[in-house]
Amino acid sequence: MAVADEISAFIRKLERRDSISSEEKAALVAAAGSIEVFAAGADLVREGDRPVRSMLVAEGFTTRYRLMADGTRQITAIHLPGDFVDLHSFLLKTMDHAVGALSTCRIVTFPHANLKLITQRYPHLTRMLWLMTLLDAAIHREWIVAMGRRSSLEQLAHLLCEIFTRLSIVGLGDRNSELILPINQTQLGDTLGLSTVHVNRTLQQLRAEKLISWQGQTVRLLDWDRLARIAQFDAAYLHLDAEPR
Amino acid sequence: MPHYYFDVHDKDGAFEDEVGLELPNMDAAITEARRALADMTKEMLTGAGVQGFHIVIHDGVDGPVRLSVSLETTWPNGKHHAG
Repeated sequence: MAVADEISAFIRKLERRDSISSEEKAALVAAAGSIEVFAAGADLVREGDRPVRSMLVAEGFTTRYRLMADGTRQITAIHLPGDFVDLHSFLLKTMDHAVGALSTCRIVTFPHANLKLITQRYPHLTRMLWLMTLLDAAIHREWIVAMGRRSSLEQLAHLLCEIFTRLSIVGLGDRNSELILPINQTQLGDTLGLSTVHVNRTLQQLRAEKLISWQGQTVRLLDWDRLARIAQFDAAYLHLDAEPR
Repeated sequence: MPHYYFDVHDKDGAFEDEVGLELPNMDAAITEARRALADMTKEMLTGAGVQGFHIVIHDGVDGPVRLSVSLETTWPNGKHHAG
């Protein structure tokens, strides 16, 4: 597949927030390096690494995570196709967390030297890359609010509303679609900061209340309005307006 | 590894575990249930009128094992004592 196709989800994500010129798109394509595939469970980058390239997800789900001394894991972000998972390493240099593949992932690498050229030649595109890291931070803030102040039911409902909304932005389904979520109950617990048993019970409550169906990895939201109300989901933090930035 | 199922009984009803977890033994399953009770306690006991909830672990061989959390509210000097 051509690089332009591999980064099409990313372009959609950018264009949801501002228009991107054909020159800027060409600059992104020119900055791309190799295309690589990672198996589910593999690390794309490890804590402590000093990458010389950043990675954009073309296909598949990834997480950012930290491992604790006792072997437990906290997932701090879930990344979807079109997310530039590792733009951080361009400036942070040393990774303070790992990025792992939840499912088989195809990624496009961007050598840091090429990203540097973009920042020197394309100020608007540079601001858009900056915006992407700000969006990551906005999502982190919403997750902190959820972990600190929402019940497990609200927190899980909120995560599902968020993932479905983010997938729809990059053209993967909509609120009513049946989607494949390659995340098991233990990984959900690691994401929400809850025990696996509590996640299981909470998923069952969402099912019993006819809010979702979840079979294997196939998930459908059965009543968006009620789920969003329970979650107090307001997509404002995803900044979905296209405007000059 | 054996498969353990964790049914939760709380203010919202009975939630039968259909997925379960693979764990080395019942001791590990009990640890898992204690972890679950710990993070469920926060939101359960703040619910008005809730006095307890429990988890039943099934494995088809060794169980069931029941772990429960309960809250007792007492008035040692009586509720309407004059000042």
